Amino acid sequence: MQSTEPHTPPPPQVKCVVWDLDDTLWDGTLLEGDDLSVPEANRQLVRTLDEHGILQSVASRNEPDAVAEQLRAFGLDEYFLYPQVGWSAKSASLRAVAEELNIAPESVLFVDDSEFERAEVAGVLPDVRCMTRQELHALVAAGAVLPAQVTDDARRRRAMYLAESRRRTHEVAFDGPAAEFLESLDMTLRVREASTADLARAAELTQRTHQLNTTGITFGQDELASLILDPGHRVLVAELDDRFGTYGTIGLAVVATGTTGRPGAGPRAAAPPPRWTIRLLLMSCRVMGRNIGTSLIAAVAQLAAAHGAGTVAHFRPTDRNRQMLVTYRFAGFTVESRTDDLVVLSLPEAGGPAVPGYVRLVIEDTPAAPRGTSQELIA
Amino acid sequence: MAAPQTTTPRPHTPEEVTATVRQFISRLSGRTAIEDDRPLISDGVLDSVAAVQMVDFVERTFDVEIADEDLELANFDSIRGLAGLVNRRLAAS
Repeated sequence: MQSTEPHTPPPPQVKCVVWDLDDTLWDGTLLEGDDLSVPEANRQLVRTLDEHGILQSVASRNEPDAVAEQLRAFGLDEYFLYPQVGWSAKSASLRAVAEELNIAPESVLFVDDSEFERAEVAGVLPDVRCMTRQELHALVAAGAVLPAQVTDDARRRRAMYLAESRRRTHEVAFDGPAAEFLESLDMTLRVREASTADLARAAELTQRTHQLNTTGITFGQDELASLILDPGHRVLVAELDDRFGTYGTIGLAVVATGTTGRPGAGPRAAAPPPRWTIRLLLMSCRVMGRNIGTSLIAAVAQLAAAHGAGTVAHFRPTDRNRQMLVTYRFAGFTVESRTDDLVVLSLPEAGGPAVPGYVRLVIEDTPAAPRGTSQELIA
Repeated sequence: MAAPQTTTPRPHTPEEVTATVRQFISRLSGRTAIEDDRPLISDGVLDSVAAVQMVDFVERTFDVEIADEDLELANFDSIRGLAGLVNRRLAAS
């Protein structure tokens, strides 16, 4: 063993900062009629956190309407999700925020000038990191709060939460069969070639998605970057929008096209028709129950057909991903062969799976990288 | 008189299987009075995630194993289809 340092895991990524207001976000006390002001450093920090995909909320003992009005007056109201303003214990407010955002207390950071409030929260929720605003500024400056990489999805995370909240209200109020609910969402699925800007999110999807994952293969950013350049592969990402806003990048397909790109290796007369193999297809649980998997599979099959190829899919069972086998089978794939841990399925010649009528499918078939560059091809 | 030596639980009759499946589908869809032949998934009464819930339910309830080959839409798209699948699996075991 070469390891020299003790193995202490780094603290979890901060996903949400919950602000106290009086003498924390702003200077002065609202209910005492003080002349309030927000220090420029705080205003800047609120914006910086937001741009980096860190959500923010409020836990304040105050009068809700007065707070709402004051935040609007400062032009800061849009930044705070599920603000908790009232007279209950701050630990209850923190718990409510974590539940609404569906994040663990250990990824929440609470900032309050009052030692009493910090102790109360720390006593009830020991995983929440509690600190003063000075400590928060210092921690951010030390590089311990902001994520190293900011994906497109991180930049629009707040908007995605707001969309999801409106969507949930609609879903709860909706009374009717599943198909009519899905119809009412007005969904558009956009499938396109991954670019380098997608790598961080794509790698994150392979690492986080277990249930809706066909083979459980995880790819690092470097591997995906080389697959994007590989003439024998297509890396496709899928984005979903509906009338409530965007779900962000929610799907990924890694497809081996079998094209070697070898110069002069044209199709021989006896060669079997080419087939594209879906090595990995996955979707975020955010879109579960929306039949988006079928639509993504259909998109890959349509792309393959447009390039004169059939479609093969790999499935590797884990204890959680049977849903994806069901999705392939219901989409018309049949089992071609099976070994201990790999099921190979293929689509019969005639036509690919139908895209559900309530999903508008947009396929952008534009390879992001030049294909068949010669330095890749070592004979 | 010796008690009958049996290690298997009381067998489910085809009628019982259908009744149990009917009840489960009704709970899953939040709707009563679904006809046995009504298409469930292809008609959007249920979404495709429901199929996995159906698999889990019948495997647990009837102690049968649903093989990958059984994952045909026809086996899950109606009460009759699912009950038929369970009865075939019960007969085979």
